[in-house]
Parts: sequence; C-alpha cells; structure tokens
Amino acid sequence: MAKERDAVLVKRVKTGDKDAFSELVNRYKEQIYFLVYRMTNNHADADDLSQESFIRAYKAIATFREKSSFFTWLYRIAINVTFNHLKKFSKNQPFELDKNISIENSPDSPEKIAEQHQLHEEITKAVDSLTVKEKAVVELAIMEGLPHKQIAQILGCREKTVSWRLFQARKKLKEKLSLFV
Amino acid sequence: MRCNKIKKLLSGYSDNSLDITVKDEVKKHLDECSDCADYFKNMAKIDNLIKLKIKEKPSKEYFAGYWDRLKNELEESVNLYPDESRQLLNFALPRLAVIFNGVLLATLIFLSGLFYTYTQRLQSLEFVQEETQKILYRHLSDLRAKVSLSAESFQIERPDIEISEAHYIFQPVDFTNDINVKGNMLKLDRIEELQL
Repeated sequence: MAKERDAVLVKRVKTGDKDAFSELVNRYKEQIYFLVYRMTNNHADADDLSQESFIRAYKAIATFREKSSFFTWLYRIAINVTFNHLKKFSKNQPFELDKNISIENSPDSPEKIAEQHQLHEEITKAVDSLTVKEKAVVELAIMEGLPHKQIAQILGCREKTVSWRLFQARKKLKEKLSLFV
Repeated sequence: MRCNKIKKLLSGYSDNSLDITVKDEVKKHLDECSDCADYFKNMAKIDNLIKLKIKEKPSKEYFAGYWDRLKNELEESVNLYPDESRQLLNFALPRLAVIFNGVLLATLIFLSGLFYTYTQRLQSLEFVQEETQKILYRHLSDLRAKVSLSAESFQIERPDIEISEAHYIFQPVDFTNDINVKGNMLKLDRIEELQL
C-alpha cells in the first residue's frame, strides 16, 4: 500500500486517530533521535528529548496550521526542546562514547577501534565547542543535508543567518580539527 | 569577488544554496584561485569528518521499542485514546466553529450595512435640510420668523408680514451661500439686515 502523505496523517491525528500518529512517529523517530543525540552527545538525553518532542507535537497538533511541512514543524519543536535543555544543563562533561551507542563499521583490531574512538572524541569536542545555534545549523546542513531555506524555516531565522552561522561554525571546526585534515 | 567574500559564500556553495549567478561566480573564482580552492577542499574534509558522527548509532532494538515507550509516555501526559465524548467533541467542534464563523460574518455584514446607511444619510438631502433649517433658525431668530423647508425652498413666515416664497441655493457645506428672498440675493451672515 502506498505511504500516506504526512498531511493526510496529520489530518487524521487531528481527529484523534492514534494509529496515524504512530505512523508519523515511526517515520521520523530516527531523524529526531539523531538530531537530538548529535546536539547533546548523550543517548539518555536523546531518548528523553526526542520523546518529549513527539509528545509536544501530539499535544500541539491542533494548532499546527500546515503552512510548512510536518517534518519542518516537528524539527522546529525538537530543536526548541533541545535548545531549552542545553540552556538549562549546559556543562562541559568529558566526552565518552555512550555505552548505548556503537559506531557502524568499526574496524576489527583493538588499536584501530581505539583510534576511531579517539577521532570521534575529537570531533565531538570540536562540535561541542560551537554555540547551540551553530551546532543546530551544523546538524541540519552537514549531517542532514537540508537546504538553507528549510533550515531557516526550522530555526525561524533568515537564510543569510543560516549561511553566516555555518561559515562561523566551519571556521571554528577547521581550527579544532586541523590535525585531522 | 575578493577571496574574503568568496570564503564566506563557500558554505552556501557547498550546500548548494546559492543563487545560480553567485554560484557560477564562486565556481569561476575557485577555478582561478588556488588559495580559495584549497580552503574549499579543507572545508569538505572537515564536513566529511563531522559526518563520521552519523555512524554513531544506538542498538537496533532501541528503535524497535520506541513507539511502545512513547505510547506509555503519551498515555500518562495526554489522553491518547479519546473516549466517545472526546470523539463527539472532535466531531462537533470544527462544525460549531464553522457555524460560529458564519454567524460572525453575517453580523459583520449587517453592521457594515448599517454603517453604510448611516454614512449615506449624512450626505442625504434630508440631513442637509435639517442642518440648513437649524442654521436658518439661528440667523432668523432676531426676526421672529418661522422657517419651514421643503426639498428646494424654504418659507419664512411672520404673523405680522406676508412673505412670498423664498429660495435658497442648495449647498450643504457652506451656509454662507446666497439665499434669494423676495428676489433679493442675500448672504446668510447678513440675513439680520433683511427688511421684511
């Protein structure tokens, strides 16, 4: 059966159809989880905040006017939930790969695995050195590959602001990761 | 374009978010400037490094149970399974909203009609006559005359003197215009001088 469009599912959710919401969650759970995970570097936070984003979306769906896509709207909610969390709990914890997280296609030898973990640690530290807003554009533009126009909609800012934040973020990342390029 | 400006545009160039003309300009510059081309290559390498984080993933089982956990959370915080009354409310509310909007619209149209009629009346002959009469009374009070107006004329009556019909020129805004009384053209502001 062809997949129902998001807009159709949203209309069904508005009439109280829980199955339609379950379909939307299954469609976007991974993207929302990874969005939050890569901004918080923490599996537990990603789990909590991604679920909170879906709960907020469910509660607010009656007010969703469908001027943007459901995906953009949901991302905006997740970004706001994560921003608020990071503002409250901004701390510089020493990075350690979460025990619930593994790295895909890990090499076999322990030395190579250690090297890979070292590299991931440096990358995470570099990303952590960015401001929350810079992290968000890095996540949406580099990791997700979204166009600047859509990122601007999600973040509620102008496209030029997105470009500027990306320029600043890439400049900082280049300084931090110069040894690896 | 200068190198500094080009470097600021490279993010948009890399993400394919530039206008086609700007994109062509950046491409042309990168072909000609080795410094900027190196900068761009470095940027791509940094992007690729950052993308390594995409490989960090939770276990497959984690996502398998995601909806069930979320469903439990939702049941605690919202009514995920609406009962019949809730379903009825969901059915009725949008329809009530449509009816309410209809009534509101009809009321607005009715009030607009009233307002239009009122403004029309302000410009009507009747209104002008009333206003004219008030002014004439004011001017003619000294003469102890009774004034009555019709559409195109007014009558000045005094019990002691017989007065033939008088005409006024119909200009509602400026009441200093001419009034023809017994063949004499008079200014309203000089009406006290009228020898009746």
